Amino acid sequence: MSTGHPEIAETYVQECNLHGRLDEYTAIKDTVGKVIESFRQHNTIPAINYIELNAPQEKRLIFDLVRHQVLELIKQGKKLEALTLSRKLSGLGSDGEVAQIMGALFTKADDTRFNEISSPLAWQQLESRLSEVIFKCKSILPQILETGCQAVPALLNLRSVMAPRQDQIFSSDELPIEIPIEKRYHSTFTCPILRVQTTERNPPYRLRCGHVISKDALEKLASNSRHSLLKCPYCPDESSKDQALRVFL
Amino acid sequence: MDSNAALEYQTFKIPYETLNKQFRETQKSLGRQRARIQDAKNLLDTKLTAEKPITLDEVAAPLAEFKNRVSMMDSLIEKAYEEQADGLHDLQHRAHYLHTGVDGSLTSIEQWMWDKERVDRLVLQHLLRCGHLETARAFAEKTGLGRLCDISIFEKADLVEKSLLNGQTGPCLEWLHEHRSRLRRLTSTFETEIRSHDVMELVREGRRLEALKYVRRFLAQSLQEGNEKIRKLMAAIACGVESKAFRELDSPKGWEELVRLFRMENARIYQLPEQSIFSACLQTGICAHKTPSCAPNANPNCIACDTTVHTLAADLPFANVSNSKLLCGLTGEPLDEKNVPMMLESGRVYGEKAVLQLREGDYIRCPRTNTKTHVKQLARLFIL
Repeated sequence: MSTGHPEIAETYVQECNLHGRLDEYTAIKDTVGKVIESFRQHNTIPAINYIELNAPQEKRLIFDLVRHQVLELIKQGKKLEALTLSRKLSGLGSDGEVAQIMGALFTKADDTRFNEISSPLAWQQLESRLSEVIFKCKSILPQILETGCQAVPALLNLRSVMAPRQDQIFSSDELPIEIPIEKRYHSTFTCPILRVQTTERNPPYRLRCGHVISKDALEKLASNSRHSLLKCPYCPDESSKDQALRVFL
Repeated sequence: MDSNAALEYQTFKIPYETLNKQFRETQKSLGRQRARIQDAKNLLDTKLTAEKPITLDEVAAPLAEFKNRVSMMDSLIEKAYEEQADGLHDLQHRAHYLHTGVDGSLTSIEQWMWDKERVDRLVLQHLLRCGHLETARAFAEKTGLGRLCDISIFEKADLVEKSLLNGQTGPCLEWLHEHRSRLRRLTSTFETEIRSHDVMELVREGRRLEALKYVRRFLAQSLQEGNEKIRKLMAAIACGVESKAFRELDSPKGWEELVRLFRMENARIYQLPEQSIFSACLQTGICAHKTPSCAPNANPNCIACDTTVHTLAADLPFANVSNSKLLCGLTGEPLDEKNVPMMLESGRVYGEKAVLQLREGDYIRCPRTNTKTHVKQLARLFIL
């Protein structure tokens, strides 16, 4: 729905008998329908009013909506209306951007400097942002799928390379290769000895010297000696297993 | 492997297979037509080289027939050419479109659009494979991506599926006939399954003699092979509805099972993988975000902590992170040499800067456990 295709969401719900999932949407359907309809005909005034009413914090969106409308009015030759509307721009965007649009009022009709801002693709992008705000949900699906689109070829490559040596590339709880993502929101710790990620079952422990290893590695190192003494593999400080402290990520 | 080669199976294999099928059919029909032309020619030849002189009238009819057949051949060739040229152009168009998305020739906003269309295409292909035709059609129309996905194949499949759920095997048998050479090469047992169902229906209605004839006519080969299922079928025919054999073979979910088998065979014909690419990308994408610390709603920004995603991620592996990365428990900032990780007595980890903020006199208060740690008890962590 956040991609601006609410009617399709309705068809889907009907086809799959998933009742009740769209109730909130049905309530605002008419108003929102008019907003999107006008937007698609390059009239952003209803959209501007709706956002100002329901989501006034979206300053950048409002600025872009006003900007598009001004350029559209100029294209249609309605320069006076454009001038009146452009007064709204001043509080919302940077001075340079506002100046650029004011300049558009005075250039000739076929000046191509503003084509990029008001190209059809730019309108589509704006529509997409508008839908996100109206329906109050930013779909995470595209992000997941895009990561997947990078991951799948990498995994297939790995499988074809590993094929002669082993049947399965998934032998542990982790993916066999690293897939870069934009930002991580959780701490992760990979034990430098066993090269596995620490989990609830195998948490990280801090040795007396300050180095951190996983619990399994700790047990392994201590099992070799009596009195559970172990030597840190990175600085040869000796300490006892009991002196190790649990780290909570 | 190029990302297109890995992800675009459905976009390429279906038109490729369709072209193949058209080619095979054209070959056969042209071959048949050639034989008929040859026949007509032979007839004409015998008439012309006969001993006695013949009238124009006698030759006129065979000559006309000969001309007819040749012109039929012409039109067959033309039609086939057009059909296959269309198919090839389609393939070319798709290849070109996909190539522009990955070779860096698009502007940033065009790339944004191409990436968005890729996500939409994945969704559309998945909808088609799941059989949600109405939604798929509406979606294709809206996004204009119908040309890149083969909706017609799935519409045909939908007809077959609906008829199967209605208890009719007719359309399915037609479909089988259309794809029989491909199915044979895949050594498919689907036909046997469908026909067994027909036989069961006949037995159920008490028309056992017809059932027997049906088996003789359509399942003769399987009969000879001594297929286990066919033997049971024969037993069912012989002993009737009350027999143990019949009850063994009969199952109330029969039709749904057939639909499932049909979908599998349909996918196999077009060399589609078992799961849709959407499903594969979704799962790997979730994996790449999943960490052992993810829990429903633990972190509002983390994708894998979203409640829906978390349920989906239940059985999936974690992301592979080769270098440890600790985040400050207070600010969420990554910890490194400029902001070293410190551990309080509670075992919780904070950056140096956060520790200064949390300081209350000689003690540091842990915001998560509300315990106090003396400054001297602060433990620095060394992460390798």
